[in-house]
Amino acid sequence: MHDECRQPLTLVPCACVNVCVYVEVLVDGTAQAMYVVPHSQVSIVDYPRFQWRGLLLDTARHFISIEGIQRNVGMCV
Amino acid sequence: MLRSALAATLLLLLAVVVSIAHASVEDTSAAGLAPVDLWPYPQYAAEQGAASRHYIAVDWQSFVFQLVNGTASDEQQQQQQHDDDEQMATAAAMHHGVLSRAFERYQDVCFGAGASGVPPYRNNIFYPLPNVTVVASLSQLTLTIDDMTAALDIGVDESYNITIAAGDDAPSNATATLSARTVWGALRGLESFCQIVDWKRTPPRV
Repeated sequence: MHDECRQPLTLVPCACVNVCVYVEVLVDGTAQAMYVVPHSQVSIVDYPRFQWRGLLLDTARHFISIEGIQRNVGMCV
Repeated sequence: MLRSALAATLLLLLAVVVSIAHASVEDTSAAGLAPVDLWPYPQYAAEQGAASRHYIAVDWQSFVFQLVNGTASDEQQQQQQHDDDEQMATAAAMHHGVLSRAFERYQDVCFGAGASGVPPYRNNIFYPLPNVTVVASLSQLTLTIDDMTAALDIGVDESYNITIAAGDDAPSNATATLSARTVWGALRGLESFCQIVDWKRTPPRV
């Protein structure tokens, strides 16, 4: 009982939520936190919709730092 | 003049992309298939179990991305086949690096919060789960890549398939496979896979 109580507590970062979870866990130690695939079966077939996609970073009108450009390129990827 | 033309073009582009994304979601639901929560939405996606809350638990602490046909031995075979062409072997080795870095990245994207002891709480509070049936557990994504040497270029085959299925006898081990023509398709597939994996908390039973 004690161990089961402890696990959800360490998983939740927000203090006020901790109290809620703690109360719930006190009532029932079987509450569980987990990663799931929320399906029993998944099937995906995918390919690019376009041959290429473009993004324009207009450095002529607004200065964009190298870090900013790299961040944008990273997000595109 | 140029400025407004550019702005208009960008807006138009955005509108086209958004409308296409919407169209594909509608197409899928029109065909009677439950849409999977993914963006950008794949060409085809179907799922079972969400409505009846039959879920697959993901064992994040031991979860691995496993490449089955691009292992070191395969690489050596390729090297022998193409020993006149060292570039192919170099490309394959480089793409292995791309892939293993992607594995690390997506391990973090999928479960990184868990590894640091604090899983994401986005669904923890607002969407608690009533009466979930865990039908299987999943601890591996198996990747099959046909061509490890294909370079990233215009026209490279970025297609991929993902199949996740629980075994017949519940509770069982689920299998998840990602097959792609090239490394670049596999990267797209990893993104989709990580979007499917979600963090949930079962409710307490009073």
